[in-house]
Amino acid sequence: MRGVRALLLGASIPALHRGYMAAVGAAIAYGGAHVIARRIVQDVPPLVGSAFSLTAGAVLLVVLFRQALLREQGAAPPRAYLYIVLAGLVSACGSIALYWALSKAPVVVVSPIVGTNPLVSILLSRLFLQRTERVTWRIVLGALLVVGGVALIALGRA
Amino acid sequence: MLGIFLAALAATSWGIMPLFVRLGLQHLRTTRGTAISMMAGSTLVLFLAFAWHWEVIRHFPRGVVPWILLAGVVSPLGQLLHFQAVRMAGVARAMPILGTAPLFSASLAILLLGEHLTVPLGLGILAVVAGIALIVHSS
Repeated sequence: MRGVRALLLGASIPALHRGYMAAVGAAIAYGGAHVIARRIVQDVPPLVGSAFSLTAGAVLLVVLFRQALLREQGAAPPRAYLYIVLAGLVSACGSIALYWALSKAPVVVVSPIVGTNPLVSILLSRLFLQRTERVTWRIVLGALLVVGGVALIALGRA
Repeated sequence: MLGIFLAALAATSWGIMPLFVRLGLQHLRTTRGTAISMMAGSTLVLFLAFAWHWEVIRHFPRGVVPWILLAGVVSPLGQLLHFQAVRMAGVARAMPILGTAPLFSASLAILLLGEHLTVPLGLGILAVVAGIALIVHSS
């Protein structure tokens, strides 16, 4: 928890490096969540497992950060809340589409397609976030290697 | 064909999501943004789960509860770090690294569930590591 706190608040590490460390930490947490999810879907449908896991997570976050949540109320413009709510809804749509896809097609087909989402992000950030995002050829090549690697991992586990 | 369309829809949804996160977190703290986003998402999924699987929820197997609670700890941790990564490193740099989650789930599955390391899996791991090295080197 101290490490997570350092990533969120630590000032001695450059922001970009903290961003990379947070990304690796998130990938490890999501990787762990996938393994737990495989256990959950043995007993309940994926949508039910996802719904209750997400709800438990949301409740935990609200309980952990309740004071900060109350203190900051009204500090941001309404459009910031709109974007964040949209992020949650779009992410939930992704989860529902994934579970539905897995019921219609095998994992070896679904996983590599879903794994291309970083490329979608890069394309969209190049189109819509030009003022804050710089997309270099190294980032694009790196993302292609990651997506290809993830596809190979999905095929290797099938 | 429907399966491929739905998989593409999932990829597009998760591809769009970090853009909203980047825009929203310009004015909100990561913790607040993550909590609000998870509440919105979980409300939608919970509503659909109740609508489609009411019978399963009524007879909820008790054995799965500890796993749900464990996922309820790991998922928000991932989401919190995910949002922080997008805020600090930007969408284009953070997303490919976040996309490496299958690398860690495969490693955990080999270590904990007894899955075997195959040639495609090994090549995939090498490609992912090379990709991350390129992205980090780009800065």
